[in-house]
Amino acid sequence: MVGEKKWVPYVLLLPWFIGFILFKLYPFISAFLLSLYEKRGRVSTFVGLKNFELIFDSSSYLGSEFMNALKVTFIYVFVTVPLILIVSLLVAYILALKMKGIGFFRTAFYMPTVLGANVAIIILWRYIFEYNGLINAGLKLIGLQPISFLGTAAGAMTSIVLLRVWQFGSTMLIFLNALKNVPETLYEAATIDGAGKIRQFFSVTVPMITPIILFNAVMRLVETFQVFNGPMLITNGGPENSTNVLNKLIYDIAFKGGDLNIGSAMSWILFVIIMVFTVMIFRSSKYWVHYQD
Amino acid sequence: MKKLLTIALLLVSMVVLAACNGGSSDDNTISFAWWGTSDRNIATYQAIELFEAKYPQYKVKGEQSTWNGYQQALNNKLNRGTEADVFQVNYNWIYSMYGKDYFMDLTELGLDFSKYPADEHTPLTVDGKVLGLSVSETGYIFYLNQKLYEDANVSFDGGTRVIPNTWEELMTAGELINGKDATKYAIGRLDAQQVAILMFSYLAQITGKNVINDQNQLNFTQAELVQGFNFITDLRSTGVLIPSNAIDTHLDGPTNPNWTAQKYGGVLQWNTAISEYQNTLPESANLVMAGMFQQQSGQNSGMYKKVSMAYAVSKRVESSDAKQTAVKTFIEFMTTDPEAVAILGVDRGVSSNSTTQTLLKAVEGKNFEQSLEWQGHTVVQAMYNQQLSNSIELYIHPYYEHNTFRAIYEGPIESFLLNNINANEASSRIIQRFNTELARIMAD
Repeated sequence: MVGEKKWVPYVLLLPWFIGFILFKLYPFISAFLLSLYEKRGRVSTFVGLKNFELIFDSSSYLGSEFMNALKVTFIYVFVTVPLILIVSLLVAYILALKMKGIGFFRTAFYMPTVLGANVAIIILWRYIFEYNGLINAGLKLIGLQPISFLGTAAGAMTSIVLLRVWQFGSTMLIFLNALKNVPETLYEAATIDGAGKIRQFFSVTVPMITPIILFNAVMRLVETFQVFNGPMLITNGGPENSTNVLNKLIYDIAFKGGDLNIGSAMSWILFVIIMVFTVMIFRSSKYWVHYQD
Repeated sequence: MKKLLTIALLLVSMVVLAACNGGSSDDNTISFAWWGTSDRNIATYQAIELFEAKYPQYKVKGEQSTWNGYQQALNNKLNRGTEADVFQVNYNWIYSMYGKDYFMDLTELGLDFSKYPADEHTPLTVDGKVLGLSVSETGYIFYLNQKLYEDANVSFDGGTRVIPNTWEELMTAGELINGKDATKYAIGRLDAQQVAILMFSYLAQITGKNVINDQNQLNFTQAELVQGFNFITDLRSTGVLIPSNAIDTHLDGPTNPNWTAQKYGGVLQWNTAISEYQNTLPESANLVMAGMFQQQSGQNSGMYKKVSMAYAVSKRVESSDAKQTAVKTFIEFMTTDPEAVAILGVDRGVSSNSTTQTLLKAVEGKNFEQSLEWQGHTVVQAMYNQQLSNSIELYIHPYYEHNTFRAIYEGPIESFLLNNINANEASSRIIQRFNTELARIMAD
């Protein structure tokens, strides 16, 4: 009877495998192959690494656009990821405290993550940050000058960073779970040794949850490198290309411009960048992540 | 186990087949793709219904889309060979999408081109092959909200005229409108694409030169470009345009709150796309066609035009005579059938086909000739022909609107409109890359 059901797990896994092969593995491999070709009309020619050379030629327009997108993406990632980690950890720490109505607050803080970065939310976000938007209406009400959030490079970047940071719910939930698993005895011992709350946080809590910090850091890093919705719908990459992240440039080149070869080459560069940073974080983890036995 | 595997394989096959589904392989089913707003979609479906009633042997599969995303989807479909049998295209896509590889030569289809002006299909012809049937021509012209001008007591010629004719009059109107209410402007916000054409039209008026010359190079000197940018500064300092685009960051013209609240008095737009702006204004507004402002009253210059859109046919259709007949019947129906023409109206612009125009004029109760699109069409054609008589041909170059190339001149213009660079810097940036990038994309 047991032997007869050996196939059940495979069948249950089959939908995932089908999805993985069709929507992950196949595009992944075909994008690599496409990056080695040049297509002019119906004629495809194998060009080796020429597309990559074109992308890295900073004297060309394409090269300068790529370098700009790379810079913008790095700024976005290295501002957003630490912010998400800090905000979600702090909120999780507060929510881990035993207080009345905590369930409500947990739900409220998780809500933005449920709503996600969907089109409606992004358009709403746009209306909040626009020159004639909600924030400026508030500023005018209290007699302050309006700020052009989407009309300046720094303001536009701030708006797309805040959109992502606002959705810190899932990171926070993972932290919350980790915080609950820190043994009470450690806090009791620290209290006896005279450590205050802040000292306890940095000397007990943080070291104990470093594996979770590592996990969250990697997940958010991978995710934010691939940002698209916000820059596409809030700023359309502007003003002056200041929010034109790599994924949007890839979209513009591959689908608007119809050059799937260059677009695929850029996708692979993005993949390599993400991989390098992920490996770097993992390699560095032996210096700062503490695993319990 | 076998059953389950069979089901799984069937599911995979279905997904793959669904992904590959595109142009119809059935000779009597014609797939037709277009972009448009709801008015155009409703009219097109009504025309399709009528076609199927008149030609019961054929079925039409309509594939409607919005403008946003249409080009990307078409690029994708052409790559996969799943494009519709007949599809609406922007005329420059004939070049940027390698139309000669993917689009059928319409002369082989046997369509009648004799009803069109002789040069109408020249921009759609590559290597002697006509790759698109012109649906209409279009030009960038000004449309003004007359009510806003009246409210500010704008008047010329001793009070007999409200709408300005010259740039100087426009600036006078701007000063009056903005002087009376600092939140209102004679035009308002124009984006980099609109400012580019405004500036190039102005420069054409004072130099008689097209943007791109016959050698595919920028026709203006840096000094001339600086003059163009200074002119934009003049328009901003006289209340015609907003002083900086940083104070209005809305990306979409027709839904811009300042447009719908009638704080902006006008727009520079293709005459085929003005209905979107008209539809978002309250009923109290009165949008009127103002043409292209001139240096001096009575002049007719600075008018750029292009084929607005065209119907292209998939090269796949070449392989079947029956399909060719079906497609030909459908295109002829959409462009010259009296009932279809009445239904479709001027939502895709005013056709240059003389038969279609006669039919449109004859439609009772619609008064298409009074529409903003038709008024625009008339002034665009008149001004363009006037220029031709002076040997000035301001036809939009097929690569002028190329996605990559646009950034070369629109990028510096955007920075200028945000007040981040001055006229010299903006001109210098345009000059730096214009010729090399145009040569590169044309060589691609």
